[in-house]
Amino acid sequence: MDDYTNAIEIKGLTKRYDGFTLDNVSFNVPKGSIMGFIGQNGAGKSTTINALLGIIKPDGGELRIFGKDAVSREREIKQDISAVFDELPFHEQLNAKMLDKMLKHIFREWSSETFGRYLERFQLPTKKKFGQFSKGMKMKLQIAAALSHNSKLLIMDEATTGLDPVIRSEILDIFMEYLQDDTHSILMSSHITSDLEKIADSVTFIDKGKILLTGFKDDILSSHGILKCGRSDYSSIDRQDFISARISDVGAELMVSDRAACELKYSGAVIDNATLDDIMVYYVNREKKEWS
Amino acid sequence: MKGLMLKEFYLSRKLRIIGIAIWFVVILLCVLIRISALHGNIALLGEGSARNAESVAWIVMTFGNSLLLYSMQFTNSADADEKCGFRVYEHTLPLSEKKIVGALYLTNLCAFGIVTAVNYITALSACLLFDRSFDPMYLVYILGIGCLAYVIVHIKAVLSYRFRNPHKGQMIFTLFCLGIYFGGAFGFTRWFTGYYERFGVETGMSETEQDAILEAQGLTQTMVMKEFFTNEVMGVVRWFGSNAWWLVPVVVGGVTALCYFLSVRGLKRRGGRC
Repeated sequence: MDDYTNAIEIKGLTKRYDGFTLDNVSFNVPKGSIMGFIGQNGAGKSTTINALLGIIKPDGGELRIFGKDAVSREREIKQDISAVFDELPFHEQLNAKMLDKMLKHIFREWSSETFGRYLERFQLPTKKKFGQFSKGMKMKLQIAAALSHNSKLLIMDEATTGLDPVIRSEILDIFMEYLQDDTHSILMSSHITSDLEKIADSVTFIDKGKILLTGFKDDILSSHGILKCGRSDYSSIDRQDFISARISDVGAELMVSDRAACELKYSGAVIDNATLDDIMVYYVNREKKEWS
Repeated sequence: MKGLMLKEFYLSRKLRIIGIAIWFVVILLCVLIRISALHGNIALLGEGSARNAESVAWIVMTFGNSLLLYSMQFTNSADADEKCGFRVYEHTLPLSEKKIVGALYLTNLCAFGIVTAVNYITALSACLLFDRSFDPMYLVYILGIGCLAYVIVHIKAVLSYRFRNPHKGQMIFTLFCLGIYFGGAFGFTRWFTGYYERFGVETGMSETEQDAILEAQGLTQTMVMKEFFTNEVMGVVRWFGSNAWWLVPVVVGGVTALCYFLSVRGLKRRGGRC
Protein backbone atom coordinates (compact mmCIF):
# COMPACT_ATOMS: atom_id res chain seq x y z
CA MET A 1 0.00 0.00 0.00
CA ASP A 2 2.73 2.47 0.95
CA ASP A 3 4.94 1.55 -1.98
CA TYR A 4 4.33 4.63 -4.12
CA THR A 5 6.00 7.99 -4.54
CA ASN A 6 3.05 10.10 -5.65
CA ALA A 7 -0.26 10.02 -3.81
CA ILE A 8 -1.90 11.36 -6.97
CA GLU A 9 -0.74 11.11 -10.57
CA ILE A 10 -2.82 12.79 -13.23
CA LYS A 11 -1.77 12.41 -16.85
CA GLY A 12 -3.55 14.05 -19.77
CA LEU A 13 -6.88 14.38 -18.01
CA THR A 14 -9.49 15.69 -20.43
CA LYS A 15 -13.14 16.50 -19.92
CA ARG A 16 -15.26 18.37 -22.42
CA TYR A 17 -18.36 20.38 -21.57
CA ASP A 18 -20.30 22.79 -23.67
CA GLY A 19 -18.23 25.98 -23.38
CA PHE A 20 -15.46 24.52 -21.22
CA THR A 21 -12.73 21.96 -21.73
CA LEU A 22 -10.38 20.55 -19.17
CA ASP A 23 -7.47 20.20 -21.50
CA ASN A 24 -4.78 17.59 -21.00
CA VAL A 25 -4.27 18.26 -17.29
CA SER A 26 -1.22 16.58 -15.77
CA PHE A 27 0.37 16.93 -12.36
CA ASN A 28 1.46 14.84 -9.38
CA VAL A 29 0.93 15.18 -5.66
CA PRO A 30 3.95 13.66 -3.89
CA LYS A 31 3.27 11.34 -0.97
CA GLY A 32 3.43 13.08 2.40
CA SER A 33 2.92 16.55 0.98
CA ILE A 34 0.22 19.13 0.65
CA MET A 35 -0.51 20.55 -2.76
CA GLY A 36 -2.39 23.76 -3.32
CA PHE A 37 -4.56 23.72 -6.41
CA ILE A 38 -5.09 27.31 -7.43
CA GLY A 39 -7.18 28.97 -10.05
CA GLN A 40 -10.01 31.38 -10.68
CA ASN A 41 -13.64 30.36 -10.36
CA GLY A 42 -14.45 28.19 -13.36
CA ALA A 43 -10.79 27.44 -14.09
CA GLY A 44 -11.30 23.68 -13.81
CA LYS A 45 -10.31 22.93 -10.21
CA SER A 46 -13.58 21.27 -9.25
CA THR A 47 -13.78 19.39 -12.56
CA THR A 48 -10.33 17.94 -11.95
CA ILE A 49 -11.20 17.01 -8.37
CA ASN A 50 -14.55 15.53 -9.41
CA ALA A 51 -12.83 13.40 -12.04
CA LEU A 52 -10.31 12.29 -9.45
CA LEU A 53 -13.04 11.33 -7.00
CA GLY A 54 -15.08 9.53 -9.65
CA ILE A 55 -17.95 12.01 -9.46
CA ILE A 56 -17.71 12.74 -13.18
CA LYS A 57 -16.53 10.55 -16.01
CA PRO A 58 -13.39 11.88 -17.73
CA ASP A 59 -13.22 11.82 -21.53
CA GLY A 60 -9.56 10.90 -21.50
CA GLY A 61 -6.41 10.64 -19.46
CA GLU A 62 -4.98 8.53 -16.72
CA LEU A 63 -5.67 8.92 -13.03
CA ARG A 64 -3.62 7.08 -10.46
CA ILE A 65 -4.03 7.26 -6.71
CA PHE A 66 -1.50 5.58 -4.41
CA GLY A 67 0.07 4.24 -7.61
CA LYS A 68 -3.12 2.36 -8.54
CA ASP A 69 -5.51 3.00 -11.37
CA ALA A 70 -8.22 5.23 -9.92
CA VAL A 71 -10.94 3.74 -12.11
CA SER A 72 -10.41 -0.01 -12.02
CA ARG A 73 -9.45 -0.08 -8.33
CA GLU A 74 -11.82 2.62 -7.24
CA ARG A 75 -13.49 0.84 -4.29
CA GLU A 76 -10.20 -0.21 -2.75
CA ILE A 77 -8.71 3.27 -3.15
CA LYS A 78 -11.72 5.06 -1.75
CA GLN A 79 -11.34 3.39 1.62
CA ASP A 80 -8.25 5.57 1.99
CA ILE A 81 -9.56 8.83 0.56
CA SER A 82 -11.49 11.59 2.27
CA ALA A 83 -13.24 14.39 0.45
CA VAL A 84 -14.21 17.74 1.90
CA PHE A 85 -16.44 20.10 -0.08
CA ASP A 86 -17.31 23.76 0.29
CA GLU A 87 -20.87 22.85 1.31
CA LEU A 88 -21.91 20.23 3.85
CA PRO A 89 -23.05 17.19 1.87
CA PHE A 90 -25.07 15.67 4.70
CA HIS A 91 -28.81 15.92 5.26
CA GLU A 92 -29.93 18.67 7.60
CA GLN A 93 -32.08 16.25 9.63
CA LEU A 94 -29.07 14.17 10.65
CA ASN A 95 -26.82 14.74 13.64
CA ALA A 96 -23.24 13.76 14.45
CA LYS A 97 -24.29 10.67 16.38
CA MET A 98 -26.24 9.37 13.40
CA LEU A 99 -23.40 10.20 11.03
CA ASP A 100 -21.01 8.23 13.22
CA LYS A 101 -23.27 5.16 13.06
CA MET A 102 -23.67 5.51 9.29
CA LEU A 103 -20.02 5.93 8.42
CA LYS A 104 -18.97 3.19 10.84
CA HIS A 105 -20.63 0.72 8.49
CA ILE A 106 -19.13 2.27 5.35
CA PHE A 107 -15.43 2.72 6.14
CA ARG A 108 -13.47 -0.31 7.31
CA GLU A 109 -11.19 1.77 9.49
CA TRP A 110 -13.75 4.20 10.83
CA SER A 111 -13.01 5.12 14.44
CA SER A 112 -15.92 6.41 16.51
CA GLU A 113 -13.39 7.30 19.18
CA THR A 114 -11.39 9.54 16.81
CA PHE A 115 -14.58 11.11 15.50
CA GLY A 116 -15.74 11.77 19.05
CA ARG A 117 -12.37 13.34 19.90
CA TYR A 118 -12.61 15.69 16.92
CA LEU A 119 -16.18 16.62 17.80
CA GLU A 120 -15.04 17.44 21.31
CA ARG A 121 -12.03 19.39 20.04
CA PHE A 122 -14.19 21.38 17.63
CA GLN A 123 -16.88 21.78 20.29
CA LEU A 124 -19.49 20.29 17.99
CA PRO A 125 -22.70 18.99 19.59
CA THR A 126 -23.50 15.34 18.92
CA LYS A 127 -27.28 15.60 19.01
CA LYS A 128 -27.86 18.93 17.29
CA LYS A 129 -29.18 18.64 13.73
CA PHE A 130 -26.80 19.75 10.99
CA GLY A 131 -29.40 22.21 9.74
CA GLN A 132 -28.77 24.26 12.88
CA PHE A 133 -24.98 24.33 12.38
CA SER A 134 -23.14 27.48 11.32
CA LYS A 135 -20.90 27.47 8.22
CA GLY A 136 -17.79 27.03 10.38
CA MET A 137 -19.36 24.15 12.33
CA LYS A 138 -20.36 22.43 9.10
CA MET A 139 -16.84 22.64 7.77
CA LYS A 140 -15.36 21.36 11.03
CA LEU A 141 -17.83 18.49 10.96
CA GLN A 142 -16.77 17.53 7.43
CA ILE A 143 -13.14 17.62 8.48
CA ALA A 144 -13.87 15.54 11.59
CA ALA A 145 -15.61 12.93 9.40
CA ALA A 146 -12.81 13.05 6.84
CA LEU A 147 -10.10 12.44 9.42
CA SER A 148 -11.82 9.66 11.34
CA HIS A 149 -11.24 6.71 9.06
CA ASN A 150 -7.47 6.79 8.82
CA SER A 151 -7.48 8.03 5.24
CA LYS A 152 -4.18 8.50 3.47
CA LEU A 153 -5.34 11.24 1.15
CA LEU A 154 -7.46 14.26 1.86
CA ILE A 155 -8.99 16.02 -1.14
CA MET A 156 -10.55 19.38 -0.47
CA ASP A 157 -12.54 21.48 -2.88
CA GLU A 158 -12.71 25.10 -1.74
CA ALA A 159 -13.06 23.86 1.81
CA THR A 160 -11.88 27.03 3.54
CA THR A 161 -13.83 29.44 1.34
CA GLY A 162 -16.24 31.59 3.30
CA LEU A 163 -14.72 30.83 6.69
CA ASP A 164 -13.43 33.46 9.05
CA PRO A 165 -9.64 33.68 9.61
CA VAL A 166 -9.81 32.17 13.11
CA ILE A 167 -11.56 29.01 11.95
CA ARG A 168 -9.34 28.82 8.84
CA SER A 169 -6.24 29.00 10.99
CA GLU A 170 -7.60 26.28 13.30
CA ILE A 171 -8.32 24.06 10.31
CA LEU A 172 -4.88 24.66 8.82
CA ASP A 173 -3.33 23.56 12.13
CA ILE A 174 -5.25 20.32 11.91
CA PHE A 175 -3.96 19.73 8.40
CA MET A 176 -0.43 20.23 9.64
CA GLU A 177 -1.05 17.64 12.36
CA TYR A 178 -2.49 15.28 9.76
CA LEU A 179 0.67 15.66 7.69
CA GLN A 180 2.86 14.63 10.60
CA ASP A 181 2.34 11.11 9.32
CA ASP A 182 4.47 11.06 6.17
CA THR A 183 2.09 8.67 4.39
CA HIS A 184 -0.65 11.29 4.50
CA SER A 185 -1.14 13.72 1.61
CA ILE A 186 -3.48 16.59 0.87
CA LEU A 187 -4.75 18.12 -2.34
CA MET A 188 -6.40 21.39 -1.51
CA SER A 189 -8.13 23.57 -4.06
CA SER A 190 -8.65 27.14 -3.04
CA HIS A 191 -8.50 30.67 -4.26
CA ILE A 192 -7.43 31.88 -0.83
CA THR A 193 -3.76 31.74 -1.69
CA SER A 194 -2.60 33.09 1.67
CA ASP A 195 -3.67 29.79 3.28
CA LEU A 196 -1.75 27.80 0.72
CA GLU A 197 1.28 30.00 1.10
CA LYS A 198 1.31 29.04 4.78
CA ILE A 199 0.99 25.29 4.45
CA ALA A 200 1.45 24.04 0.88
CA ASP A 201 4.58 22.17 -0.17
CA SER A 202 3.73 22.35 -3.84
CA VAL A 203 1.35 24.34 -5.96
CA THR A 204 -0.50 23.82 -9.24
CA PHE A 205 -2.03 26.71 -11.12
CA ILE A 206 -4.90 26.06 -13.49
CA ASP A 207 -6.58 28.53 -15.79
CA LYS A 208 -9.27 27.99 -18.43
CA GLY A 209 -8.87 24.22 -18.11
CA LYS A 210 -5.11 24.23 -18.63
CA ILE A 211 -2.28 23.80 -16.17
CA LEU A 212 -0.07 26.88 -16.18
CA LEU A 213 2.39 25.99 -13.49
CA THR A 214 3.06 23.08 -11.22
CA GLY A 215 5.91 22.50 -8.82
CA PHE A 216 7.24 23.09 -5.36
CA LYS A 217 5.88 26.28 -3.84
CA ASP A 218 9.28 27.57 -2.73
CA ASP A 219 10.74 27.03 -6.21
CA ILE A 220 7.82 28.84 -7.83
CA LEU A 221 8.01 31.73 -5.38
CA SER A 222 11.78 32.05 -5.70
CA SER A 223 11.82 31.88 -9.50
CA HIS A 224 9.04 34.47 -9.92
CA GLY A 225 9.32 38.13 -9.14
CA ILE A 226 7.74 41.48 -9.87
CA LEU A 227 10.01 43.76 -11.84
CA LYS A 228 9.18 47.40 -11.26
CA CYS A 229 10.19 50.04 -13.75
CA GLY A 230 9.23 53.36 -15.20
CA ARG A 231 7.23 53.64 -18.41
CA SER A 232 10.32 54.58 -20.41
CA ASP A 233 12.26 51.53 -19.19
CA TYR A 234 9.28 49.29 -19.84
CA SER A 235 9.50 49.74 -23.60
CA SER A 236 13.07 48.44 -23.55
CA ILE A 237 12.12 45.15 -21.84
CA ASP A 238 11.87 42.12 -24.07
CA ARG A 239 8.25 40.88 -24.13
CA GLN A 240 9.43 37.27 -23.94
CA ASP A 241 10.93 37.94 -20.51
CA PHE A 242 7.73 38.58 -18.63
CA ILE A 243 4.36 36.88 -18.23
CA SER A 244 2.25 40.02 -18.16
CA ALA A 245 2.59 43.63 -17.07
CA ARG A 246 0.42 45.87 -14.96
CA ILE A 247 0.66 49.34 -16.41
CA SER A 248 -0.07 52.39 -14.31
CA ASP A 249 0.42 56.13 -14.76
CA VAL A 250 3.74 56.05 -12.98
CA GLY A 251 5.24 52.92 -14.43
CA ALA A 252 4.88 49.19 -14.92
CA GLU A 253 5.02 46.06 -12.81
CA LEU A 254 6.03 42.96 -14.70
CA MET A 255 5.80 39.34 -13.57
CA VAL A 256 8.97 37.51 -14.49
CA SER A 257 9.23 33.75 -14.30
CA ASP A 258 13.04 33.60 -14.32
CA ARG A 259 14.01 36.08 -11.71
CA ALA A 260 17.74 35.26 -11.69
CA ALA A 261 18.08 35.67 -15.46
CA CYS A 262 16.18 38.96 -15.39
CA GLU A 263 18.34 40.29 -12.59
CA LEU A 264 21.37 39.66 -14.78
CA LYS A 265 19.81 40.94 -17.98
CA TYR A 266 18.27 44.08 -16.50
CA SER A 267 20.86 45.00 -13.91
CA GLY A 268 19.67 47.75 -11.68
CA ALA A 269 16.03 46.83 -12.05
CA VAL A 270 14.06 46.32 -8.84
CA ILE A 271 12.58 42.83 -8.63
CA ASP A 272 10.32 42.24 -5.64
CA ASN A 273 9.16 38.91 -4.26
CA ALA A 274 5.90 37.69 -5.72
CA THR A 275 3.11 36.07 -3.73
CA LEU A 276 0.95 33.24 -5.04
CA ASP A 277 -1.81 35.78 -5.40
CA ASP A 278 0.39 37.96 -7.62
CA ILE A 279 1.45 34.99 -9.70
CA MET A 280 -2.17 33.96 -10.20
CA VAL A 281 -3.28 37.44 -11.23
CA TYR A 282 -0.40 37.98 -13.68
CA TYR A 283 -0.76 34.53 -15.21
CA VAL A 284 -4.50 34.96 -15.66
CA ASN A 285 -3.77 38.14 -17.64
CA ARG A 286 -0.99 36.56 -19.68
CA GLU A 287 -2.97 36.66 -22.93
CA LYS A 288 -3.58 40.39 -22.67
CA LYS A 289 0.10 40.84 -21.79
CA GLU A 290 -0.59 44.41 -20.60
CA TRP A 291 -3.31 45.36 -18.17
CA SER A 292 -4.02 48.01 -15.63
CA MET B 1 -24.62 -0.77 2.54
CA LYS B 2 -25.76 -1.01 6.16
CA GLY B 3 -24.60 2.58 6.67
CA LEU B 4 -26.78 3.84 3.84
CA MET B 5 -29.71 1.77 5.09
CA LEU B 6 -29.29 3.52 8.42
CA LYS B 7 -29.36 6.84 6.60
CA GLU B 8 -32.64 5.88 4.92
CA PHE B 9 -34.00 4.90 8.30
CA TYR B 10 -32.92 8.13 9.99
CA LEU B 11 -34.29 10.32 7.22
CA SER B 12 -37.69 8.67 7.14
CA ARG B 13 -37.95 8.23 10.90
CA LYS B 14 -40.19 11.25 11.46
CA LEU B 15 -42.59 10.28 8.68
CA ARG B 16 -42.71 6.70 9.94
CA ILE B 17 -43.55 7.83 13.48
CA ILE B 18 -46.32 10.08 12.14
CA GLY B 19 -47.62 7.14 10.05
CA ILE B 20 -47.66 4.82 13.06
CA ALA B 21 -49.42 7.50 15.16
CA ILE B 22 -52.15 7.98 12.53
CA TRP B 23 -52.48 4.21 12.13
CA PHE B 24 -52.91 3.85 15.88
CA VAL B 25 -55.51 6.65 16.07
CA VAL B 26 -57.49 5.05 13.21
CA ILE B 27 -57.48 1.69 15.05
CA LEU B 28 -58.62 3.43 18.21
CA LEU B 29 -61.47 5.11 16.31
CA CYS B 30 -62.52 1.76 14.81
CA VAL B 31 -62.57 0.17 18.27
CA LEU B 32 -64.68 3.07 19.57
CA ILE B 33 -67.09 2.68 16.65
CA ARG B 34 -67.43 -1.02 17.44
CA ILE B 35 -68.11 -0.28 21.11
CA SER B 36 -70.58 2.43 20.16
CA ALA B 37 -72.29 0.13 17.66
CA LEU B 38 -72.74 -2.48 20.38
CA HIS B 39 -73.59 -0.36 23.40
CA GLY B 40 -73.40 3.33 22.53
CA ASN B 41 -74.98 6.05 20.40
CA ILE B 42 -74.55 4.23 17.08
CA ALA B 43 -76.56 1.28 18.47
CA LEU B 44 -79.40 3.72 19.16
CA LEU B 45 -79.59 4.60 15.43
CA GLY B 46 -80.90 1.16 14.62
CA GLU B 47 -79.53 -2.18 13.51
CA GLY B 48 -78.97 -1.19 9.85
CA SER B 49 -77.06 1.96 10.69
CA ALA B 50 -74.95 0.15 13.27
CA ARG B 51 -74.13 -2.59 10.76
CA ASN B 52 -73.16 -0.01 8.11
CA ALA B 53 -70.96 1.89 10.54
CA GLU B 54 -69.31 -1.36 11.61
CA SER B 55 -68.72 -2.43 8.00
CA VAL B 56 -67.04 0.86 7.16
CA ALA B 57 -64.93 0.71 10.35
CA TRP B 58 -63.91 -2.88 9.57
CA ILE B 59 -62.91 -2.01 5.99
CA VAL B 60 -60.95 1.02 7.20
CA MET B 61 -59.20 -0.97 9.91
CA THR B 62 -58.37 -3.91 7.67
CA PHE B 63 -57.60 -2.37 4.28
CA GLY B 64 -57.53 1.43 4.62
CA ASN B 65 -55.09 1.25 7.49
CA SER B 66 -52.93 -1.21 5.51
CA LEU B 67 -52.61 1.30 2.69
CA LEU B 68 -51.81 4.06 5.17
CA LEU B 69 -49.14 2.05 6.93
CA TYR B 70 -47.53 0.83 3.70
CA SER B 71 -47.43 4.26 2.09
CA MET B 72 -45.89 5.90 5.14
CA GLN B 73 -43.28 3.25 5.89
CA PHE B 74 -41.62 3.12 2.49
CA THR B 75 -38.77 5.51 1.94
CA ASN B 76 -37.12 7.27 -0.98
CA SER B 77 -34.42 9.76 -0.08
CA ALA B 78 -32.99 10.00 -3.62
CA ASP B 79 -34.37 13.50 -4.22
CA ALA B 80 -33.20 14.69 -0.80
CA ASP B 81 -29.74 13.24 -1.51
CA GLU B 82 -29.57 15.24 -4.71
CA LYS B 83 -30.72 18.47 -3.06
CA CYS B 84 -28.31 18.40 -0.11
CA GLY B 85 -25.27 17.24 -2.08
CA PHE B 86 -25.12 13.77 -0.55
CA ARG B 87 -25.31 12.30 -4.06
CA VAL B 88 -21.88 13.82 -4.79
CA TYR B 89 -20.48 12.67 -1.44
CA GLU B 90 -21.84 9.16 -2.09
CA HIS B 91 -19.55 8.88 -5.11
CA THR B 92 -16.54 9.45 -2.86
CA LEU B 93 -17.49 6.51 -0.64
CA PRO B 94 -16.10 3.03 -1.21
CA LEU B 95 -19.48 1.77 -2.41
CA SER B 96 -20.66 0.64 -5.82
CA GLU B 97 -23.78 2.07 -7.44
CA LYS B 98 -25.44 -1.32 -6.92
CA LYS B 99 -24.93 -1.02 -3.19
CA ILE B 100 -25.99 2.62 -3.06
CA VAL B 101 -29.28 1.88 -4.83
CA GLY B 102 -29.56 -1.51 -3.11
CA ALA B 103 -29.61 0.17 0.30
CA LEU B 104 -32.84 1.97 -0.60
CA TYR B 105 -34.48 -1.12 -2.07
CA LEU B 106 -33.43 -3.33 0.80
CA THR B 107 -34.69 -0.84 3.39
CA ASN B 108 -38.07 -0.87 1.67
CA LEU B 109 -38.05 -4.66 1.43
CA CYS B 110 -37.47 -4.87 5.19
CA ALA B 111 -40.25 -2.33 5.75
CA PHE B 112 -42.49 -4.36 3.42
CA GLY B 113 -41.97 -7.53 5.47
CA ILE B 114 -42.56 -5.85 8.82
CA VAL B 115 -45.58 -3.82 7.67
CA THR B 116 -47.16 -6.86 6.01
CA ALA B 117 -46.84 -8.83 9.25
CA VAL B 118 -48.35 -5.93 11.23
CA ASN B 119 -51.18 -5.56 8.72
CA TYR B 120 -51.97 -9.27 8.87
CA ILE B 121 -52.16 -9.14 12.65
CA THR B 122 -54.34 -6.01 12.40
CA ALA B 123 -56.65 -7.71 9.88
CA LEU B 124 -57.00 -10.75 12.13
CA SER B 125 -57.67 -8.49 15.12
CA ALA B 126 -60.26 -6.53 13.11
CA CYS B 127 -62.09 -9.76 12.26
CA LEU B 128 -62.12 -10.79 15.92
CA LEU B 129 -63.18 -7.31 17.03
CA PHE B 130 -66.00 -7.00 14.51
CA ASP B 131 -67.00 -10.63 14.88
CA ARG B 132 -66.39 -11.55 11.25
CA SER B 133 -65.02 -14.76 9.84
CA PHE B 134 -61.44 -14.46 8.65
CA ASP B 135 -61.17 -15.11 4.93
CA PRO B 136 -57.60 -16.07 3.89
CA MET B 137 -58.19 -13.98 0.77
CA TYR B 138 -57.81 -10.88 2.96
CA LEU B 139 -54.14 -11.73 3.21
CA VAL B 140 -53.88 -11.65 -0.58
CA TYR B 141 -55.72 -8.31 -0.76
CA ILE B 142 -53.43 -6.76 1.85
CA LEU B 143 -50.41 -8.12 0.05
CA GLY B 144 -51.77 -6.60 -3.18
CA ILE B 145 -52.10 -3.18 -1.52
CA GLY B 146 -48.54 -3.49 -0.22
CA CYS B 147 -47.20 -4.53 -3.61
CA LEU B 148 -48.87 -1.57 -5.29
CA ALA B 149 -47.34 0.88 -2.81
CA TYR B 150 -43.97 -0.90 -3.08
CA VAL B 151 -43.94 -0.68 -6.87
CA ILE B 152 -45.01 2.98 -6.91
CA VAL B 153 -42.27 4.05 -4.49
CA HIS B 154 -39.65 2.36 -6.66
CA ILE B 155 -40.95 3.85 -9.90
CA LYS B 156 -40.51 7.20 -8.17
CA ALA B 157 -36.99 6.13 -7.18
CA VAL B 158 -36.10 5.34 -10.81
CA LEU B 159 -37.13 8.85 -11.85
CA SER B 160 -35.15 10.36 -8.97
CA TYR B 161 -31.99 8.50 -9.99
CA ARG B 162 -32.55 9.08 -13.69
CA PHE B 163 -33.05 12.84 -13.56
CA ARG B 164 -30.63 15.18 -11.88
CA ASN B 165 -33.33 17.75 -11.27
CA PRO B 166 -35.74 16.50 -8.57
CA HIS B 167 -38.49 18.79 -9.94
CA LYS B 168 -38.26 17.13 -13.34
CA GLY B 169 -38.50 13.67 -11.75
CA GLN B 170 -41.47 14.80 -9.69
CA MET B 171 -43.18 16.26 -12.74
CA ILE B 172 -42.78 13.05 -14.74
CA PHE B 173 -43.98 11.01 -11.77
CA THR B 174 -47.07 13.23 -11.47
CA LEU B 175 -47.77 12.81 -15.18
CA PHE B 176 -47.34 9.04 -14.79
CA CYS B 177 -49.80 9.00 -11.86
CA LEU B 178 -52.29 11.14 -13.78
CA GLY B 179 -51.97 8.77 -16.75
CA ILE B 180 -52.66 5.78 -14.50
CA TYR B 181 -55.58 7.60 -12.87
CA PHE B 182 -57.26 8.72 -16.07
CA GLY B 183 -56.52 5.43 -17.82
CA GLY B 184 -57.98 3.54 -14.86
CA ALA B 185 -61.01 5.82 -14.66
CA PHE B 186 -61.66 5.44 -18.40
CA GLY B 187 -61.33 1.64 -18.26
CA PHE B 188 -63.48 1.41 -15.16
CA THR B 189 -66.20 3.62 -16.70
CA ARG B 190 -66.22 1.49 -19.86
CA TRP B 191 -66.52 -1.64 -17.74
CA PHE B 192 -69.39 -0.19 -15.70
CA THR B 193 -71.17 1.10 -18.81
CA GLY B 194 -70.92 -2.35 -20.40
CA TYR B 195 -72.41 -3.91 -17.25
CA TYR B 196 -75.19 -1.30 -17.15
CA GLU B 197 -76.13 -1.99 -20.76
CA ARG B 198 -76.94 -5.58 -19.80
CA PHE B 199 -80.09 -4.20 -18.15
CA GLY B 200 -81.21 -2.56 -21.40
CA VAL B 201 -79.96 0.88 -20.45
CA GLU B 202 -78.24 2.66 -23.33
CA THR B 203 -75.87 5.60 -23.35
CA GLY B 204 -77.58 8.90 -24.15
CA MET B 205 -80.75 7.98 -22.23
CA SER B 206 -82.03 10.47 -19.70
CA GLU B 207 -82.03 9.67 -15.97
CA THR B 208 -85.82 9.22 -16.02
CA GLU B 209 -85.64 6.77 -18.93
CA GLN B 210 -82.89 4.81 -17.18
CA ASP B 211 -84.89 4.70 -13.92
CA ALA B 212 -88.03 3.54 -15.79
CA ILE B 213 -86.17 0.67 -17.51
CA LEU B 214 -84.59 -0.44 -14.24
CA GLU B 215 -87.84 -0.10 -12.30
CA ALA B 216 -89.55 -2.40 -14.79
CA GLN B 217 -86.99 -5.06 -13.73
CA GLY B 218 -87.50 -4.31 -10.03
CA LEU B 219 -84.13 -2.51 -9.77
CA THR B 220 -82.74 0.92 -8.89
CA GLN B 221 -79.47 2.58 -9.96
CA THR B 222 -78.04 2.08 -6.44
CA MET B 223 -78.86 -1.62 -6.55
CA VAL B 224 -77.17 -2.02 -9.95
CA MET B 225 -74.13 -0.19 -8.69
CA LYS B 226 -73.97 -2.37 -5.58
CA GLU B 227 -74.33 -5.50 -7.67
CA PHE B 228 -71.60 -4.29 -10.00
CA PHE B 229 -69.19 -3.98 -7.11
CA THR B 230 -70.15 -7.17 -5.31
CA ASN B 231 -70.46 -9.39 -8.36
CA GLU B 232 -68.22 -7.93 -11.05
CA VAL B 233 -65.41 -6.09 -9.28
CA MET B 234 -65.13 -8.39 -6.29
CA GLY B 235 -65.65 -11.36 -8.60
CA VAL B 236 -62.56 -10.43 -10.57
CA VAL B 237 -60.62 -9.77 -7.36
CA ARG B 238 -61.72 -13.13 -5.91
CA TRP B 239 -60.91 -14.95 -9.14
CA PHE B 240 -57.50 -13.28 -9.25
CA GLY B 241 -56.87 -14.11 -5.60
CA SER B 242 -57.77 -17.78 -6.10
CA ASN B 243 -56.28 -18.49 -9.51
CA ALA B 244 -53.62 -15.96 -10.35
CA TRP B 245 -52.33 -14.73 -6.98
CA TRP B 246 -48.87 -15.96 -7.92
CA LEU B 247 -48.81 -13.29 -10.60
CA VAL B 248 -48.58 -10.61 -7.88
CA PRO B 249 -45.11 -11.58 -6.58
CA VAL B 250 -43.96 -12.34 -10.14
CA VAL B 251 -45.06 -8.94 -11.47
CA VAL B 252 -43.90 -7.05 -8.38
CA GLY B 253 -40.57 -8.89 -8.36
CA GLY B 254 -40.09 -8.22 -12.07
CA VAL B 255 -41.03 -4.54 -11.83
CA THR B 256 -38.80 -4.09 -8.75
CA ALA B 257 -35.86 -5.78 -10.49
CA LEU B 258 -36.40 -3.55 -13.52
CA CYS B 259 -36.65 -0.45 -11.31
CA TYR B 260 -33.44 -1.48 -9.51
CA PHE B 261 -31.61 -2.01 -12.80
CA LEU B 262 -32.80 1.35 -14.17
CA SER B 263 -31.92 3.13 -10.91
CA VAL B 264 -28.37 1.74 -10.98
CA ARG B 265 -28.05 2.74 -14.63
CA GLY B 266 -29.39 6.21 -13.84
CA LEU B 267 -26.85 6.64 -11.05
CA LYS B 268 -24.00 5.32 -13.21
CA ARG B 269 -24.94 7.54 -16.10
CA ARG B 270 -24.33 10.65 -14.05
CA GLY B 271 -21.54 9.10 -12.08
CA GLY B 272 -17.90 9.02 -12.88
CA ARG B 273 -17.32 5.48 -14.00
CA CYS B 274 -15.14 5.05 -17.05
